[in-house]
Amino acid sequence: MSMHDPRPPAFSRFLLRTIVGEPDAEFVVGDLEEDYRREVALRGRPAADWWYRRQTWTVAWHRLRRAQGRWRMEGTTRDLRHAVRGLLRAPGYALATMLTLALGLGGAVAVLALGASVLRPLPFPNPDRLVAVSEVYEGHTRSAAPANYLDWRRMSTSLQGLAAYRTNAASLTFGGEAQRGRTAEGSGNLFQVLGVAPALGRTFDPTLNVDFPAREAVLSHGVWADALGSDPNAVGRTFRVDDLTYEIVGVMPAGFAFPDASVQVWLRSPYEAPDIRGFPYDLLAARDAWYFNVVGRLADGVALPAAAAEMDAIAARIEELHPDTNAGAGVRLTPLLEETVAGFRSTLLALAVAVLLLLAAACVNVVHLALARSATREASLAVRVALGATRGALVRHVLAEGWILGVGGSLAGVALAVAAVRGTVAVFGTTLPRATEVGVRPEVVAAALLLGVAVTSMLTLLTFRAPQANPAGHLRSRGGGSRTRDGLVVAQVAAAVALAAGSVLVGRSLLNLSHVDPGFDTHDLVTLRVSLPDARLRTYEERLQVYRDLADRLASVSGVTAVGLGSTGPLAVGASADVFMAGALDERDPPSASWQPVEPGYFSALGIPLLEGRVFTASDADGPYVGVVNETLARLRFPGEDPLGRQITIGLDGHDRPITIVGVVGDTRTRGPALAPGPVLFRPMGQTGRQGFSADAVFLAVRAPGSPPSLPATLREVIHQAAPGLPVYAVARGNDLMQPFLQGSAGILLVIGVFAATTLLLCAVGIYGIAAYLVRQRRREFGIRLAVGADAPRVMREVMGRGVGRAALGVPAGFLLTFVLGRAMGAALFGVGVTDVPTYGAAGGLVLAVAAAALWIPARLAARTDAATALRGE
Amino acid sequence: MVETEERVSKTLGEFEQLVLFALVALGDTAYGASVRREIESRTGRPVSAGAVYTVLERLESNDLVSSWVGDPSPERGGRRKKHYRLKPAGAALLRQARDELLNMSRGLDARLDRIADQA
Repeated sequence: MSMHDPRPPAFSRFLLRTIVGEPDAEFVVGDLEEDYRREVALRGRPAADWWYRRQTWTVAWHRLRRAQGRWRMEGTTRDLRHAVRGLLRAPGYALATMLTLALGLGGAVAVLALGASVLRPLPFPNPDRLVAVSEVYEGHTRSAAPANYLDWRRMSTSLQGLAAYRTNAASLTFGGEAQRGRTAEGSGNLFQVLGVAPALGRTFDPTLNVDFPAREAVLSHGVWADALGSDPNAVGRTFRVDDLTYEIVGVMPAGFAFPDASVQVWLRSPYEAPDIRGFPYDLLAARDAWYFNVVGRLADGVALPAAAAEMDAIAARIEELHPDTNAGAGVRLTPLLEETVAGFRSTLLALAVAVLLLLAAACVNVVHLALARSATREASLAVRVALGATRGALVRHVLAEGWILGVGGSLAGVALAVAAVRGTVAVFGTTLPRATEVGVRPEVVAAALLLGVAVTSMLTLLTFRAPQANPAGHLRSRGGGSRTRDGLVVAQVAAAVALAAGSVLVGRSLLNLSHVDPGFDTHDLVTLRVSLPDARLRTYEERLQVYRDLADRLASVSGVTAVGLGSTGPLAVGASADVFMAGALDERDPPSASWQPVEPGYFSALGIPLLEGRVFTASDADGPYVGVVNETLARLRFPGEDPLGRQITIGLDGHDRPITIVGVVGDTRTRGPALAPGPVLFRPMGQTGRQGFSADAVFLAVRAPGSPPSLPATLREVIHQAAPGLPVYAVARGNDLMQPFLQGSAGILLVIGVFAATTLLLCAVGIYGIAAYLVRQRRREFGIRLAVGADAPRVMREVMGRGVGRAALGVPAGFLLTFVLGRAMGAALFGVGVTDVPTYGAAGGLVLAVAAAALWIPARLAARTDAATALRGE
Repeated sequence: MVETEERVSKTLGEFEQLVLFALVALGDTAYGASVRREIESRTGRPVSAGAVYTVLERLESNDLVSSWVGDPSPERGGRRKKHYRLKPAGAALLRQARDELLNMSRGLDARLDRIADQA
């Protein structure tokens, strides 16, 4: 069979094989496969898939009817009744099985629910036709430039719509006080491409162009409810975004989110590409300013590869026409869903591997329990056989038990999963895409029930052994199955080792991440941002004065020792600029640095160390252009040289006035603790008024040693009094600044840690159960040996040694699984390798220690066996 | 518990007759899928695989057909076929059923058509 042969739906085929059973499965599956190919050739793949599923169900249906004919319905209900009675007589077994199943299935359902929610099609019409379009340069994707985007739009035929958008933080003023929010500015066709109709009013009119009279905005359902009290007459009202007035033309339905749920307002760009403030030259002609995203919709009947090929050709054509800006620039199309969940996919994979291990461990325990149950039940079954019950009747009885346990365990598992999913959403926080859409959906519950019943039915059938027709014979026929038990222990230990090692790996990563020196002093620090909603109404100097006055006010708060003012915080990247050597603007590939206007007190307030030269002074504002570089920029721009006194220039301000470097400061983790610090060029705020920094929002750092926990509230209050209506946001204590970067890893640690603990517990219970069973079986032998003088410690050592020895066999397999799990977790690991030997050793040791602890009680029982009772018991 | 044994029929059901006729038509090339297709193409009505297998198994257990396992073939993903062949007893029963039907319908065509076409 070649790789390209169409394969029938896998699940149906599996179902078919399971239902029919060998030896007939081969013929039936073969027959249907043969016909399936005919159907594919005749009617195409989807119709053939449908046909195959239908045939599978007819086979299942006929088998069921036949079985029913034989057993009759009353027999089935009687079986269930018998099973319930039997389980009530063995409540320990029933509860243990259901609880074990609930633990395993709970985890599985939670991860399934998470996956199903996150990877569910996006809530747009035909979401699989939506693609994210980005530029590619040297293997990396980047945002799009306006002129390139307009060319794509004009030249592409395989995309029936291409819309541009860019998200911004902004001050939103609906009548009362300004609030900080997120906006997305889009081209006029944005909603047309997404294909979503508004709940109220209309969306943008794509035909409007540049000089339209009113600026148009569409509100999210959330902001419409919160800020406008769900006003049914909201359409036509105006509100302000920063200093500009917009007219509300529509309100989107609840649940609409694009590009993510944080966006509250969509603004129509006055141009066909999103606007960029203070852009120094003709925006729509720019091919070297990449600042917005593009979403497209594939034209009817065009597949993604065909569209990608066309876009490649278009990119090549643009490159030919504009070699100076577009050399080496390509285009990449990614399905929008993939783009949306890209970062979370690996987390999901790690969770899936982890949950499989947990489920496997749970299944092993269910098997243990079922084996023990079938041993105790054997006598009663043997009696029934003697009374004339057929093998079929016994199987039905056992199956009925399995179904009851499966349904009970699944329901408990679903309940557990609902709680687990809520918890997971909470711990993953903002790193979880589509968080608002996550929940346990009905189809997931159905899948859980199916899985639970399937698992228990399968396992109870696997462990079922028909007793001999001769009731007396069953006692002598025992003793087999010890290899099966050992195999189960090995599997379970392997799963436990892998999950334990996985947790240690993530835990150590988290520890490593939180111990990364951020490059500034996080203690006794509060940071916040403020913005001026009417920034455009004042001059740059006036705005600066407002901020400076605020900083002075904050500095006078009791306990505050320093206040720093700048455009960006130390853990963020500001606007970036190419850093040329002065007089060498034609240099190719100069280093690009984050460009951050700051006031003189910025460094000392944050505790960023000065390594060389000086920081800014108040007199720099009127003096010659100066700059301070961080270590990374110093190393990149002046490798092996002294940067002090050297002159550079930046492309950003459109002229080549030289900037003299007066100081070098330490690096801060501008891109988060997991990535190397990026290069930064600091400039005095007093000198940057005409260089693209509009000062409509600034960052403030307040240092207050021994400050009370109420300090953030106090600072807010002070700002409110000084400048009523000024939005204060992103207020954080210095110690919490790293938190967002740790959240993803913390989430994985929590989930995998819980899985690991559960698996360890299951493993302990399983090992205990087996040892107890074996000790019971060998009671006579132990009793006699002890009676004739064997010493108790020796017997104990023997039992423990055997148990730990079997468990140890699972450790190497566990290491292998750890490697698989570690690879799946790749993105969450930091500063620790997937093959970290101490971690493996610790995990193996931990599991063996747990195994030894679990063996302790059975071993003691063995060592205390009383020969007389043991012999009487036989 | 009493297990009800399956009825060993002295007469054939309608679908059983169709399956047996398919076996006659197909000779040595009769197996599940070809039987299903034969009935579909001759009667023009859709036939489910489940029904065919159920009937074939019942006919076999009633000793009306025999079966043997053939060679694996690539268009079946390397799986083997289970072939069926009509036994003399099955053929006799089928002939009886056919004769009964022919005897009952003889001379009635015109009248049957007239009533049916009234609608």
